[in-house]
Amino acid sequence: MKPTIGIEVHVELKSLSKVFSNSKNNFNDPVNTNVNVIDLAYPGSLPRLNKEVINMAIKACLALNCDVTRLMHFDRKNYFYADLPKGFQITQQDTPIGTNGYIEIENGKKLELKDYILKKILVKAFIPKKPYLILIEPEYHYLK
Amino acid sequence: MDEFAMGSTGETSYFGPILNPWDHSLVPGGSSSGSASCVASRICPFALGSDTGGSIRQPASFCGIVGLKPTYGRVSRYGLVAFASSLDQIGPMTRNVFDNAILLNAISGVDENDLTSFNKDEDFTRLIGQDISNLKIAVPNYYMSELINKEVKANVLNIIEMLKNKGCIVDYIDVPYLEFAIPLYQVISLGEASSNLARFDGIKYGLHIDGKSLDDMYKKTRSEGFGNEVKRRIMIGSYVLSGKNADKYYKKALKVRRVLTDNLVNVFNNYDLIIGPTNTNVAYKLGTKSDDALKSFYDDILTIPVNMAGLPAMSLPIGFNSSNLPIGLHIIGNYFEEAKIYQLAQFIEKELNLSLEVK
Repeated sequence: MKPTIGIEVHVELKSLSKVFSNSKNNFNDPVNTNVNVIDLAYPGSLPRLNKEVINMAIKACLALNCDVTRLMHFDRKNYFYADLPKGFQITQQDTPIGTNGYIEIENGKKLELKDYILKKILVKAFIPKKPYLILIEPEYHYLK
Repeated sequence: MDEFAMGSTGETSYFGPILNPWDHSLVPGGSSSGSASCVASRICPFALGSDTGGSIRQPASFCGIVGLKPTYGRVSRYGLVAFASSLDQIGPMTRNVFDNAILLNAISGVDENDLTSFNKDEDFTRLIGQDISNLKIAVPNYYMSELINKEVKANVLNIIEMLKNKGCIVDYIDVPYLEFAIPLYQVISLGEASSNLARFDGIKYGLHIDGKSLDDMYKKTRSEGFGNEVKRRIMIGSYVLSGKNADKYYKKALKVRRVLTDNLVNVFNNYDLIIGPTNTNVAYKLGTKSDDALKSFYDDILTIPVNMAGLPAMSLPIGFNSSNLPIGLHIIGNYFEEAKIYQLAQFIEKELNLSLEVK
């Protein structure tokens, strides 16, 4: 038997603000300091896409020999959990920013890279029993 | 207004039903019921509404005022509690056409907090008063079918005659897929609503009812906090988005929506505007539809296609039925062509010179 092993890689970004909000991106600050109405999912707030992050992702896609999509959208993954104020995770299912990439290693071998997506992932959570207080949530790049 | 903008009668309001100023035993339409009712009864000079499937235009038509749903993205949704994000649009509700245009001037434009907003610097009053005789107008056969009340139809036919006499070309056309508006709306708007209302979980704001566990707290808070209509819609919405159902229902609905959109937008290759009635009928008695959750969706049968396509459309008062209840004309324009809607609307308004003040 010859196993095929897939690896899911998360990449933490050094962007100034978060991927889908304009609050500061700094993992080492105390809990609930870098949060605004978007992060807290206040009614009437909408996600704001960080342009700097798109530039970073395109650079990464080019370095990893990906095709960069011309038309991009985001998908919602809906579920309830205390670390998810909006009730959905923003991710990319149908139109990843990069697809069909590869990484060349020694002896000319190529490791296939299926897609490169932008998504929002909680980085640090603090969920005491009561009250259900939460979160810092910067966001990630994501390879798979 | 109807709770979370879900309803077309005003009866699901948390604070009790809103009344129609023309007859207090009737519904004002909804969900922007209070806005329409206040403008019609001259309590305020203008109001805003939000329109996901007809919630500006239907109450405007039931209350005898001018209501416009602008092109999707024309007015920033920042601050608006989201119902169905791909359909929601804020718009002006006013006593007359000119007021409507200047209110749209004031509220439209780009906003960095809503990525679907755009900047097109223009004055929406600019075509008002210009000759309309060269306009080409389409009337979808579906909008004049036997579903439409006779008196409503007769009033729309009057307008068609008026426009023809003025020199406009008015043609009856077929627009395939218009009849799928209701099932499309039930899948797309309710799916999106269930996702958008997930944030009301009792943790960050609003009602919070303690429970034995996190799940128990969610359950208690959401069971208590939402009204029956909202809960019904969240349940349907969660169902159509769950697991494989997302492909079976939501994604399929998006494909049908695409075709319906293309069919509607293609009309504008040959015509300037589309007209028809805003609603199948005039305002009805309070309580008429509260026993049947499905019935109230059918109020929006003529307005929903416009939201699916993201086009701008207005309801304009064009007369009264034999019981002195207002009738609305639906004027639909191509993307970004609100100014042309105002041009035609103001011509009709001036010709009819109706007295729209409630006696």
